[in-house]
Amino acid sequence: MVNYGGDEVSALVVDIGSSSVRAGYAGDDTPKAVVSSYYGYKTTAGDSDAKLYLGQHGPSIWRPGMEIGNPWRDGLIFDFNPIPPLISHALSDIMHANPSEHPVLVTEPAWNTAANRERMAEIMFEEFQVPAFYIANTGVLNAFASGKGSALVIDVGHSMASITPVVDGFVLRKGLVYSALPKLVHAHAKHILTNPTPTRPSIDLYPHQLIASKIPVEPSAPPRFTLREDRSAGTTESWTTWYETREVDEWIHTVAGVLDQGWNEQAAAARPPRQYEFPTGFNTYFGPERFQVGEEFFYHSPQLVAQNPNLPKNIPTLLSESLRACDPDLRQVLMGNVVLTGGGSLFTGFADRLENELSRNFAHVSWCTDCKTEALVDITRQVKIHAPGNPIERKYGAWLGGSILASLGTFHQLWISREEWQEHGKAIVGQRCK
Amino acid sequence: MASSELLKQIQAGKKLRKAETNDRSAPMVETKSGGGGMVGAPGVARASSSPVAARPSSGAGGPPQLGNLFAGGLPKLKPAGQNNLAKPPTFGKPPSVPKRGTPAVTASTAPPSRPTPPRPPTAPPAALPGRLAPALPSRSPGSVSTRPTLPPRATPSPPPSVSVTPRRPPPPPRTASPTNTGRSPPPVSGRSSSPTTTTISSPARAVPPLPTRNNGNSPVPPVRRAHPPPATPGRPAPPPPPRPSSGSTLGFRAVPAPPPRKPPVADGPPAPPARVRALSEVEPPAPPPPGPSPARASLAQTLTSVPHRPRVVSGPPKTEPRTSVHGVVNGNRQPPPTRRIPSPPPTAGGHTFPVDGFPTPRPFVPGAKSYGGGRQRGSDFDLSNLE
Repeated sequence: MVNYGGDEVSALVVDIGSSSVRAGYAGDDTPKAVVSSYYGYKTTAGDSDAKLYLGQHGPSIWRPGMEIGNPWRDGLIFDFNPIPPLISHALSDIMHANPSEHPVLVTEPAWNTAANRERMAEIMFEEFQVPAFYIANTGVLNAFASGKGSALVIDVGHSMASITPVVDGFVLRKGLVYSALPKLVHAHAKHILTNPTPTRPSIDLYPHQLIASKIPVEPSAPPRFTLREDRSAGTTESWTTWYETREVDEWIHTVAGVLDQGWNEQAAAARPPRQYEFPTGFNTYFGPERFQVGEEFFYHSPQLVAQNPNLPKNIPTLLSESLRACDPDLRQVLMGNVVLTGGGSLFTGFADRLENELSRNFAHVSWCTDCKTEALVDITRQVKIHAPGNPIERKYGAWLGGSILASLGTFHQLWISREEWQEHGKAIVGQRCK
Repeated sequence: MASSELLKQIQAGKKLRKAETNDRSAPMVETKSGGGGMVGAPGVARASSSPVAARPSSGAGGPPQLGNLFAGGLPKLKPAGQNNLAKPPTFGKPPSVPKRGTPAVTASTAPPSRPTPPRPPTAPPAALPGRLAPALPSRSPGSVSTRPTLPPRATPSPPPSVSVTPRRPPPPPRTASPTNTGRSPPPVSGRSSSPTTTTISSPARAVPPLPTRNNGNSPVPPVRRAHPPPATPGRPAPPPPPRPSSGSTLGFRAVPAPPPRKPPVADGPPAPPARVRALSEVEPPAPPPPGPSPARASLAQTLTSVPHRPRVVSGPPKTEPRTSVHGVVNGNRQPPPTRRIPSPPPTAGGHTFPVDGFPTPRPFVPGAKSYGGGRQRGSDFDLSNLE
């Protein structure tokens, strides 16, 4: 086993997500490189491996004919071609670190396939020539970032929301559930924005790259802007979609919230509205409709369910599925160690709503199944949610867990060294990285 | 992946280093508008076109590194008081160990205060805030020689010339005033010898070679006397004179010959003094014969380890009267202390301690002691087995 004497060489931690790739040194409290996972490329007649436009000079710089792609689909990496350029952009261009000199810890979603895992190992060893490698589970890393060996990790990300029960550092596979809930919420928000309401017209989500000029207007007044004619032709649809997605995300994160007690018209109306301005100059105050956005995480109206058979499960559904699959006594442990993470969970009121949902629906359940004791079990056998307030800790929880893990002494024996890779090949990945 | 030690380390938590980042994810709005109206995409897209420099950690404001650690301003550290402690003691005058709560050595004001006050105690006390404060005041008015004044710690002994002077008058209980003068010679001599001998281990009061002291007593005393006690800001001179009288009573170190000292200054010498100088207590002015050497030696060591306390092991100087004893003792040890540590006052802070009437010390028998009970060694383990 290669000896990496602890503090001598810092490992690199690369957390590849669907919205961004986070990379940094193990032992740091924040990743140094956060690169958008969306990349631009031009389909020239010829090879599709044309130059990729990555990072801050990537998709957000308008280029004629540039399409936008993303290696993720449905929560898994489906296209590994852009992965090496993304990683190398993060490590070499931004961090100026040489991956061949550092052990590299990479993350994967809990539901990752073995093929993906091995492919990632292959990329790291063969293309990046790393001296040592390990691939770890984001659910487990999020638990570790909170200092827990066992936890129920509720991760609301960019494309997927998942509930991962982690017990003693291992994922409990039967309790693992995930759904594309954030995508639904996003689509719902976009729907809200682009449809006219009694109080306002539909909103144009034109990106500022396409706006030639605009004039400030009063709130709720129609926007006054002109588009750039020279760019309208070269704008691809995928780029437009990408930008609109970003704008809606921006709106959601600025304005949207979640009522902590469930949908209530009066409560929604009682909350103060929030203002938001779009690139077109249109700005307005958003009142109750902003809570409808967050509500989508927790409640799906029956009509919606009826219309969409494949609707992503909402959070209470996910919770019940996950907990039902776990042993009753395990549930106690998990309920007492709930970790809320993921950038999508940064809605105001999200943690409170989650706590209410958990206490209301599941503390009771867990107690009932445990009725062997007659004593009136006090429901302070209760739900404890660890929801870091710091956005860095929420968004980059998996990266932080990796940073912690890779800097622990007892972890060093777990690295897969290059010699082992050469000797055993892909099989060692599945064996070592559980 | 989850070995139990790994989990334990995880649960123990790990502090991560702060990493420097250039966070440009927030929009570059200089003023936060009321409703958080953010305009479009953050500066990323503008990077190429706009000349606006990226504001690192925009929004968060300020250097994030320190967090709120220094939110109230940099803390003002209070001076510890021993600036001069690091100075090697100039052993003209060994700092008087505040056995009896003699005024603590005030590091900073050591030299200056020494020569000055007839009431040395006043000076040192001021210099040494709270150290052995109580002791000093009581001392002060007393007879000149009675109060051993602790020279400021830092300057254990002013240059020889000065050193002689400042010698602390032996603590009041130690000797009657008249005796003080007489007494002072011995400690003083010890002290004065120290500078000459330069044997003083730097911070600690070097124990001047006893023989010297003993011998030099007579010649020295006159010199000593020239510098009346007042000059001694530092530690009170160990009260050798009283020693002889109290020699017999010196059953234990901690209370070196209090009785003789007492008379001159019956008023409670500084109250807590002795406590402060634990070390000094170890070095009774005239420790019992067997006691002194090991004590002294250890004391010397401890003293050396305390750089800012140039207290001289009192021992030899004050053991004037027990020349014989000391001769023996000293032979066993390294340089005997140059100064004598004054014995603690009989009353301190409401407590009354016995100062006389102690049983005679055991006779010193050189050589390995054999204990009853059969075993002559602590264990039967042979260290060579460890090889």
